[in-house]
Amino acid sequence: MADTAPEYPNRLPRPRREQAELAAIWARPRSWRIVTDVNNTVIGYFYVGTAMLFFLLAGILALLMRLQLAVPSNTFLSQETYNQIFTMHGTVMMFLFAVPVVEAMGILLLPQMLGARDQPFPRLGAFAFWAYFVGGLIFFSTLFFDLAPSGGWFMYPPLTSSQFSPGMGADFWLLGIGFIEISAIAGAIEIIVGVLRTRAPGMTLDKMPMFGWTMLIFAGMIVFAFPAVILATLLLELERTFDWPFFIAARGGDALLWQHLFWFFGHPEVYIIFLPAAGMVSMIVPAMSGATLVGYRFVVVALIATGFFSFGLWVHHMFTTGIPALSLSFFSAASMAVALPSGIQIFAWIATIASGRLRLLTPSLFVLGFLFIFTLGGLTGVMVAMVPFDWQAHDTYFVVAHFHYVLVGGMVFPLFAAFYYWTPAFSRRTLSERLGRWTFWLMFAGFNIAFFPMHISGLMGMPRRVYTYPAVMGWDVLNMISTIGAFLFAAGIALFLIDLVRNLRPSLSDTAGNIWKAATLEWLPNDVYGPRSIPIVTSVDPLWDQPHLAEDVEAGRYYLPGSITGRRETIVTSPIEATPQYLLSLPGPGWTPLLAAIFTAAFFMLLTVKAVTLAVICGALAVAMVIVWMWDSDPKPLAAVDIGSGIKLPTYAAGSLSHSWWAMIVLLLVAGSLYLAYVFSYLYLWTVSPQFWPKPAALAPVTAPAVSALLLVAGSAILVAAGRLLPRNRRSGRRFEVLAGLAAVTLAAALMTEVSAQWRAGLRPETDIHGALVYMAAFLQAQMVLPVVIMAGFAVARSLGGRLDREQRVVFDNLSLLYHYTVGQSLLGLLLAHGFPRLAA
Amino acid sequence: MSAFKPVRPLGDFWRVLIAPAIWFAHFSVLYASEALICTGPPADRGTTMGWTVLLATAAASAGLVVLVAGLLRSGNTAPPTSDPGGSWFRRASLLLALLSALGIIWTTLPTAVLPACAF
Repeated sequence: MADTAPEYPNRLPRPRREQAELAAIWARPRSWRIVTDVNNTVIGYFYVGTAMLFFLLAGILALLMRLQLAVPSNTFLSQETYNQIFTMHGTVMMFLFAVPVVEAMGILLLPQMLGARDQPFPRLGAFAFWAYFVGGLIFFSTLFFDLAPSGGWFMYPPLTSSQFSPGMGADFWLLGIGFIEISAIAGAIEIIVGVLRTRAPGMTLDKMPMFGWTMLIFAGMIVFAFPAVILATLLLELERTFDWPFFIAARGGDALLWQHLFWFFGHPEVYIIFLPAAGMVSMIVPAMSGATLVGYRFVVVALIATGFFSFGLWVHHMFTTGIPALSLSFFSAASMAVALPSGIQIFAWIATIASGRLRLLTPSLFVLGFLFIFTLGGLTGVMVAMVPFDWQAHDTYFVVAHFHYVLVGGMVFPLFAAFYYWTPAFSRRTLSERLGRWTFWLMFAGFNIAFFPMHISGLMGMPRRVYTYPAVMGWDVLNMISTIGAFLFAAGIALFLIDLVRNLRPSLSDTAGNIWKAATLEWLPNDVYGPRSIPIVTSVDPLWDQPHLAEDVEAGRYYLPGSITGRRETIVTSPIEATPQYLLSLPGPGWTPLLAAIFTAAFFMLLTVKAVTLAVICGALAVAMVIVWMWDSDPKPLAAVDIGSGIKLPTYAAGSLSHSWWAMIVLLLVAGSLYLAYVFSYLYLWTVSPQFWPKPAALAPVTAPAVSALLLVAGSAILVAAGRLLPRNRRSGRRFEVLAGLAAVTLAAALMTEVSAQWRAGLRPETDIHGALVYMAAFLQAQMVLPVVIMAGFAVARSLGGRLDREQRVVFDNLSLLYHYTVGQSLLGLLLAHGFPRLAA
Repeated sequence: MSAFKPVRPLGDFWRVLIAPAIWFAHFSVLYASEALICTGPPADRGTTMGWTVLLATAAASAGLVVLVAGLLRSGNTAPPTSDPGGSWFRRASLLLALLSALGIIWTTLPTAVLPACAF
């Protein structure tokens, strides 16, 4: 129900040139310079297009596999080629399509849906996209040079260790995917801060579109899940390159650690993909039914519960690894419990359809297809959550059928519904209803013909990942049916592409418009700058409950109908009540995000081929690009400005009010999750191989960690003192610069003290698992110290340039957060490396 | 600025997450305890696991009870009409507490029928 609408913030008529000036400020670069644009609509288009390119490429790989398996004893593909193809199919679908495409939809849709002019960090969004684009293309091209990985999309060691996979394929996977994960985390930070801090005034959390909620939870899950797999890739790459034995049993490692870390990421990953798709469905169903979403609060609760429960499921991928039965039962119980919140959402959609009148157009067909296929996938999910059943079905085609029902049903069908649904908001023409229906039925029939028989071939004993099978097994008819189904599905995709070519005409200013009579803000008249004025939202369905909203927004009656500062701007609001807090200046087009992404990708890829010097040069250039882009990111505060209704907003915010502070907090959560995954690995390996932990007498003397800890605490104190000496005038600035530099040196010295103490005590990382873990703690510490040192140098440089003082202090605030976190993590590392062996002894 | 509600404390948002966090903590303690107890002497495993489950479940239940009591009390002092946003968060927190309680019961059930460390 809508609250009372406030009065209009701005009067009509608006100044004659106001809208033209707004358009000029937000104008896109022309021709090939479009690659320098950072606006969410352009980056969103690029992002969705690239993700769909990878979907097509991975789909072609799937068709090659189906051709190979169509008949028994086929020689169409060799065994090694088949191994590379199924590895790349899974990897590309999961890492280069599924996660990026939902992130892309978030970047494209969220600002318009939330009533913002852009994302809060446009250049970070651009960097995330270009890093993914460049890294993804390089990774995929390894297939053409026989350098692709072949160890399966989950890359289990010891198969992927240097002993059994000596080529560079595994390294490309580890460094390439690790790098692309970093890009996903950058996107997640953008989304969290965007959803919490740039909603239209009045759009309280309980009035936020459901897609906003799902993207918030999606991004939160990325923050906690992805670090586990980043740590796993680091551990395996260090083992492959430097022989640190994390997964080698003879020296105390354990291959099962990989599975724990991988699936701690891998199972939430399923929900990371599913929740945004569910959010799309929660937007489409009300619009197509003409009824508000039933049980809004229940759906939000279900989303949060699913997000949490999904972190208690990872061992259900490991039921056959010899874990005690009671442990398996905990995960089996959680696997069944997660069906509860998923069920709440499905009932909410059915109730919404029942409460309105569903128009059976293409988006609705895809939603109904999703409900049918995903529910079947959910039911087989409950089956494989039963430990005894899983023992029978594990690693068979039954599991292949199950997860394709969940992933294609739960994500691809909603995504296609979304394409048909939102195209009119971003294109001059709608997609064809006739072709859309054909597309749906080909995809729906093709999918079920392809994957339903796999349940049966799995139950008949057909294992996953076999490149061929003898005729005597009796699997040939089922496999032929699956292959025919796969090509039918592909025909549906081909028809969709034809529809896109015929009808998609990207535009923002001249779109087909709100043809569904939907209720949310992305259907307002939009342009490159988003809505003409930023509305006050008083309802969860604003276009239904707030009469004339579209006309009033377009006329400029609401906030910010032009640019006040002459720059790109958006309103930053409070995280819960969406109360306006300050006016944020946004950056325009620039080369730095693109170049930073190219150099970062080059750094990782050159490391893979062991071109270390070139890699270091590219890494330095990437850092230089980031420094150049950051130099103007913290502009001098201007006087407070009036955005309408006499509301005066500051143009600058520091501390916890600043959106930048929030981004840093999210980044620290990522770092904390990574370190917790390391602590888990340390304790897990100790339970597996306690005999490799040294006696106290063999450890480094306690004086070394004491000195290191003292340096860490002193560093924190020095930085706090530096903060108190932030310059008001140039004379006091010198003392700040000296102290900030000293704090950075102190932090680096603490790290050097610890490493040299361990080295002098005779500990070596390649000797056994204890040594490897101790040096890994130092590695993770160095990973934090390096950016702190760079940031401290940056802060000093800004102070010298007169761009850092008590008022203009965001750079220092962020440095402080990073510094104190690093100190905390380092102290925990010291405790683990020096205290735990003494305690355990 | 009068058109908008005052900035709500972030605590309201975090409070929504407390109940599922309690479920996750309970779940983690049970799983970690099983892993650690199974490395100890075989004779004590059953008893140690039993006590661990009892204590962890009691602590988690107490946490949920305190949370729910607090939510109900704040609901009584502030009627929903005076603060719709606050009421929305309270009810969402209560629903999540209910789901988390179900999760805790469901996770604890296997310990009643399966011995510790058996394969």
